[in-house]
Amino acid sequence: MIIVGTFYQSIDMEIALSQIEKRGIPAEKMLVIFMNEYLPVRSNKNQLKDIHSSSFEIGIAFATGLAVIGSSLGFKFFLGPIITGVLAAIIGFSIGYSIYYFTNRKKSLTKPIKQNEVTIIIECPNEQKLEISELLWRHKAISVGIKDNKG
Amino acid sequence: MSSIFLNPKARYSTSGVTHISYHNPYMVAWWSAVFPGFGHYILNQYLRATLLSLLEVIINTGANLNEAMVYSFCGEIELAKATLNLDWMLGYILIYLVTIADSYRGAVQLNTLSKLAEPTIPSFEIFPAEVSYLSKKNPLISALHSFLFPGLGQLYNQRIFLAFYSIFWWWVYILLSHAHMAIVLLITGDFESSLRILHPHWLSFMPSVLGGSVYFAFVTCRDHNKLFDESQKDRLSKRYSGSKLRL
Repeated sequence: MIIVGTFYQSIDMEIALSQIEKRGIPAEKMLVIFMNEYLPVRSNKNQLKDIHSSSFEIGIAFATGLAVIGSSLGFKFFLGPIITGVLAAIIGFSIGYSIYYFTNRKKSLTKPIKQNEVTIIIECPNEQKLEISELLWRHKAISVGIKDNKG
Repeated sequence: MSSIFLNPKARYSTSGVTHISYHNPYMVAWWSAVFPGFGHYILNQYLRATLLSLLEVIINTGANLNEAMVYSFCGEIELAKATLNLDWMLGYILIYLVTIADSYRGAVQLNTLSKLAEPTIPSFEIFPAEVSYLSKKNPLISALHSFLFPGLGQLYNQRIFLAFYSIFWWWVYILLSHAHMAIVLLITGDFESSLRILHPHWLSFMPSVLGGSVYFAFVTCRDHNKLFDESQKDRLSKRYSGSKLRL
């Protein structure tokens, strides 16, 4: 009897594995495969990051710079330092975010990785089938598959 | 995966997770320029970062630098000249520039060292006064926490000493600049008095501290998530390496 479960990487998945071992299935009867294996990345600079995440970083950096200038100018400007500072921060964020996003859009992955997935394959006796698959579901499995030995 | 160099990439302590990872050296230098010490926080060199940021508040206050900056941006060059305290000025410039260069150099060196480090870290560790652990968190929630009140994002990321250090200083800025009072007056429509009560010296610290805290909360949270995935992969791959399952 083979049971296959897919998960997002989480503590729940690790708890599921330890629970399965507690129910008498030895570690050697299990395979844990981490998905999203990419070819080795040459430089750290090009590591797979979500483009929105990097754009946000640049946006905050620009926002901070402009907010300092904006709030200083605000002491003379009629809107006052707080409103001018906030406006400058919003403008700075938009500029920084757009600059990074539009210059790196084409270089980024077409499909951003949201969460890393894991596939777990377990070989277990027929009578534990329900118990194990229920355990996988209860620990937030994305999907569970069962293969009978008969066919 | 398997390396003969057993340098851990991260470790737990009473103050949370300390780790090394890749950071763009220019970005680190930029945050040092925004507020001396912030670049070193990004590198997780908490002690020197904290000391540098303390030094910045002291020297900046001594030199009246923030007021001079406000006057300069407003075009009041004579006023700026008169405000600046010359006893403190040269030292400020020297420490400011060397801090930026030091954080840049640190980033370059830590980027090299991080190539020798492996993500071998357990899921949690218990200390007499704290429990430290890694879990999946949302970087945007972390950034939002710091946006509401700098330090809360660090609390969300479980960097507890930095969290309370930031909260303490944010209160100092709020009380000395009257920023929150000014916001309340703005909302209630008393524009004149909201402008009058604001103190330029202490207010000028606030945009950089707020921005730095938001940025640092976001980046740390994203790094922790990555560390969680990598260390779990390392741990489980070792645990299930002897699998005899043949399909």
